[in-house]
Amino acid sequence: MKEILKVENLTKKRRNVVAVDNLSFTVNEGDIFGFLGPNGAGKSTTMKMILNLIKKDGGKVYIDGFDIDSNFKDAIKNVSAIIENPAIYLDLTAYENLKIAKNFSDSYNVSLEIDDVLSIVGLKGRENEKAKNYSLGMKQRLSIAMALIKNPKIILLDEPTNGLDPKGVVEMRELIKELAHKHNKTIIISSHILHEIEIMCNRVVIINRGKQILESDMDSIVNQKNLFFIRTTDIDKSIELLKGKTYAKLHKVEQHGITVQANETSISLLTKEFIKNNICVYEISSNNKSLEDLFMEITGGK
Amino acid sequence: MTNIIKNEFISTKKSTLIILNVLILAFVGLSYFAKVKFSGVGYFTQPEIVDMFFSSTLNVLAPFIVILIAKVITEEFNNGGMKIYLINPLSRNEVLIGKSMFILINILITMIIQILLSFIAVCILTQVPSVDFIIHSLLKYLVTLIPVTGLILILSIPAFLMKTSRNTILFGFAAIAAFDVVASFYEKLTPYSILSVLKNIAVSNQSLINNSLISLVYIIIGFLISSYIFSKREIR
Repeated sequence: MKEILKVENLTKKRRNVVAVDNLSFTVNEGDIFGFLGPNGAGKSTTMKMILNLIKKDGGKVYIDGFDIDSNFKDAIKNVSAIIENPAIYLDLTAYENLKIAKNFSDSYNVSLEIDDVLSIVGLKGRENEKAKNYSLGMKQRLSIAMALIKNPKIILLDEPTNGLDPKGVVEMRELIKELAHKHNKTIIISSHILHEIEIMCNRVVIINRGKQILESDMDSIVNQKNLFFIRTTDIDKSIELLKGKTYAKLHKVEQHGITVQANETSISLLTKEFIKNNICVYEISSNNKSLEDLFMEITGGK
Repeated sequence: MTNIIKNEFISTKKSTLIILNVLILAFVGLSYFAKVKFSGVGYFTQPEIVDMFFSSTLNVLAPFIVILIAKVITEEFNNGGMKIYLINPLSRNEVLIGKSMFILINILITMIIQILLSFIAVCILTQVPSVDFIIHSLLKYLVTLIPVTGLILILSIPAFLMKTSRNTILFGFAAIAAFDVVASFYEKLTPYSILSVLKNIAVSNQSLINNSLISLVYIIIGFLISSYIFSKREIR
């Protein structure tokens, strides 16, 4: 898979505080890449540094192989972004806003037609209304249309569902998935909403206080499911029993028991084996980790 | 660069330009009324009529530039417009030059309108002006664009520094007043004030050269400082 965005040791200092600390990650073509962290973790700052909207204090950013320091114009051709609030002219109609975006991109890209992007984002028929009369969801859609008209390879979306009502959130998620799967865009989404990242993204990087905590495939996190905690005092005997078992595997030795990876049928079989071998079992509980659990575990909920 | 100018024409309300021209005409009307009523002038020569339009245009120009700069620069930082520009293959200097060009074009349009109106007034009040007179009047307006460029770039400095367009307008108006106050207190400085240059550049050939050089200094300083501040400014 081709690397479309590479961030190496990105650093930003504000006065004496390190806002982003040696952040490195790679985004592959076609990814829906989640950029997860609590408020103030440095997500927006990182996105702005990727776009050169704020200067970085260290590190490198490569977009589609182009270094943004030495080849900014070639690099930025391939990116569109919605950072924080939708950047639209409220006194203009959607059509005029899109005309502005198209005027720029026509000079360097084979940009999409205004009617086409209006159809994609579901604003067809509303293009002559002033943007100030739009709901927040529609404004968000309009700014996605403005990003899309450039026909970029990558779209950066900073908290795209912020402030939207539940219906708007679902529609936005569907739109993002459609952009990635139907229109072959690489999407980078920053969010502090764990569930959102979990259901939309195939890769994730977690940052907290400017530091990278984890970069992983979502599959690896999801595969941590089918975990069961068995509370027992006979830990050594349990480990011995599990050796050679194909239907259940030892995952982790805990203070008051063990965690095993097994499906639900296997766990009932294993319980019978434990009892047969006089291993005292006090509790068996599902220990499936969601991204939320993982996030809380590694950040300590801070 | 042309894309920036094109987009500025889409995003900036045409009413600003209309208001400016109406304001200039109001100034012309006032000075005509004052001369007829208070000075008892009954007849105007062709140069007097054109001068009435010219000086009225110059009077309104500086405040208009401040308002336009606040709209196309400071406001763009707040409404996210600057992000639209900079997430495109454009350098910040190109954006600065493009926006300055847009303001200059607006002033050029205003001047063309005022020239046409002054010629119409000349035709109505006297007779059809000679070709020489038309060329002379056109050149007068044209050379004024040199200090106008200096004024735009100098007034761009606060536009990149201020957080709200209201502050940019207040600071700009204060700066214009300061130019006049300082120049009136220290007469030696008067020729170096950009506002004084603006009013005097078209007076004679000698003043044209001196004032062009002074304007050039304003252009260079204004561009360098604005460009430096813009390059350091974080787009939020």
